Formats: sequence, C-alpha cells, structure tokens
Amino acid sequence: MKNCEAMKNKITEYYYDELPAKEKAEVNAHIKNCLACAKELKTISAVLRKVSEVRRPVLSASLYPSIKARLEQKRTVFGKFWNLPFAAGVGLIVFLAVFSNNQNVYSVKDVDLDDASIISNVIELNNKDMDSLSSLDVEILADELFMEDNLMTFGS
Amino acid sequence: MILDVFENMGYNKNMVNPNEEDKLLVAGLKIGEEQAFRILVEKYQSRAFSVAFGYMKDAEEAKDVVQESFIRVYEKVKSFKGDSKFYTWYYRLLINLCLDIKRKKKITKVFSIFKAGKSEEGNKEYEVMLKEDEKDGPEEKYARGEVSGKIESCMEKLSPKEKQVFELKNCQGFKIREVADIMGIKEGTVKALLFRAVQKLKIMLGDGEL
Repeated sequence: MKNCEAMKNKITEYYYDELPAKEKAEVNAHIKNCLACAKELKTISAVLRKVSEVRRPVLSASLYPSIKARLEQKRTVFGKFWNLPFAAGVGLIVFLAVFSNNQNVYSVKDVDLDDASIISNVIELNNKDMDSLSSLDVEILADELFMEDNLMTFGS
Repeated sequence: MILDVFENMGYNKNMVNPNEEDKLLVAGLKIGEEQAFRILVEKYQSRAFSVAFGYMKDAEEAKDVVQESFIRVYEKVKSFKGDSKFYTWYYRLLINLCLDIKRKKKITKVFSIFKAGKSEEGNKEYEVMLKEDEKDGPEEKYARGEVSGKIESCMEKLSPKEKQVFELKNCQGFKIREVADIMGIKEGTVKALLFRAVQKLKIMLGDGEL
C-alpha cells in the first residue's frame, strides 16, 4: 500500500515520460501487478489526453511587421519627447540672452542723475570728444583744400 | 562569428547548431541586426501566442501581449547577460507581462463594469482564428467547442501556480526542468504543483469521462 502511494505520485511524470529509466521500469513493473495503480494511470491518461485536445486559436500571419511598426512609432514618439527638452533648452538660452541684454540697457538708463561724480565724468568725456572732433575736422578741411588746389592746378 | 552568420543578411539555420542559435540571434539583436530580431520573433511567436492565450482567453489581447513582449525583448536585450537560456528569460518576461496586464484589466473592469461589448469582439476574433477541422460538421464543431470550454473553465479553477505549471507542461510541452527554469522555482516544486493540478483536473473533469 505504501508502495502504491509512492507509485501514484510518479504516475504523472510517467505519463509525460519524464522519469529516469530506473524509476520508469519500477512503475512499469508495479502497474502490471496493481489494478488500482493501473486504473489511476488510465484515468490520468484520459484526462490529460482530453486536455490536450483543447482547441485554441493559432496565429495566421507573422507578427513581425506589426511589431516593427509599433517600435518605429514608439521611436518617433520618443524622438518628439527627446526634441521637446532640447527645444525648451534652446528657447531658455535665447530668452536669457535677450533678458540679460535688456538688463544691461536698463542698467545704463537707470543712472542716478543726482550722483555728481557721474555727471562730472560725462561732461569731461564730452569735452574731450569735442576737442578731438574739432581737431579732426580741421585736418579733414585742410586735406580737402589741398586736394582742391592740386586738382585745379592739374586741370589748368 | 556573429557577423559571419548574418553576412549579407544570409542567415542560414542549417549552418548553426540549434543550441547556439538563440545565442547568435541574441548577439545579433544586441548589435542591432534587424534580421536577427525578425528570426527570433518568427521562431517564438506561435508558442508565445498560445501561452498568452492561455492567460488572456482573448485572441486579440493575446496578440497584443505577444507584440508588447517582443518590443520589451528589443528594448531590454542588452540587460540579458546570457546566464540563463534566452527562451526561459523570454517566457518569464511574457508570463509576467500577461499577469501584469490581467491584473490591470481586473482593476479597469471594476471601473468600467457598465461598458459591454469588448469580450464579444475578442470571441469573434477567436472564432476567426480558430483552426477548424474541415471534416467536422456543425454538430461536431459545437461538441468540440463545448468540451474545450469546459476544460478551459476547469483549468481556470486551478491555483495560479498550478495553472502556470500545467499550462507550460501540458499545453506547451516544456520539460519539467524547463518549466522550473522559466518559473524560477525548483524542479521538485514543479513536480508537486503538476501532480496537484492533474489530481484536481481529474476530479473536476469527472475522472476522465467527458
């Protein structure tokens, strides 16, 4: 009886032909002499044969084209997502550049006109410029007169 | 070696030892060989679809899961170190995906309990894709459908682990050692789960008298 319990535990593996040769031979020998175990094997075989007859749908065509299409679609979507931070980054850099430039303009405009030292510096700078410009004007005028004289001479 | 195999896209199955085939295909996929990916998909898709159908019970959903599983293979293949066989890694990924989607589906079902029609669409597709035996008349087809439905519903009553083991062993024909590898459990556990599943089915299916 104890032997029967051990054999019944092996009947499933016996059915699937998964027992090592030695154990398979033992089960074979046992079921020849044990009606209960032989019946158990018959029942299990009938059940498993029936289960194997379950009809399931089968694939009619390769899934590869649709998998490839899905992968490509996914790649495009990821591409867009990847481009989005890139575009945002570029936009941010442009914005910062424009913003900092405006800040510089405003900083020039926002001079404190009550500050006497700044005003005196500006006046001094303007005076220097005026001096240099007037001397330059004299030089240009002299050059033009010289050229005019020479042209008249060559012309005559 | 990989480049030799895929040279000029002229992969020849007969040139390669079947045990090495998956390794070469995976290596090819890792370096971006489209041909290697196509061969892997076409090699595993039918069995994968059958496994997925066992979980999803809907042809269209099973097809979607298989497609998604191959997309994940494509994306995650670089993390596959080759310590285990490719097919054990792949079927584990596929089964986890099936379980994950089923879980999410259950949650969605709770929120869309009043929406009907989706399951009918799936069954329609199931009918279209079912491999019909031309010799069967309408009565035989109906009887076969009845038996299949009864067996499938009995299998649904097994515990998730028992069902998983039984599905892989009986329906997909994997060896006990392979089932253990796919599920990441010991062979002894697979044997015990298989024994329990068969005993339960024996009782549920009326001792084989169908």
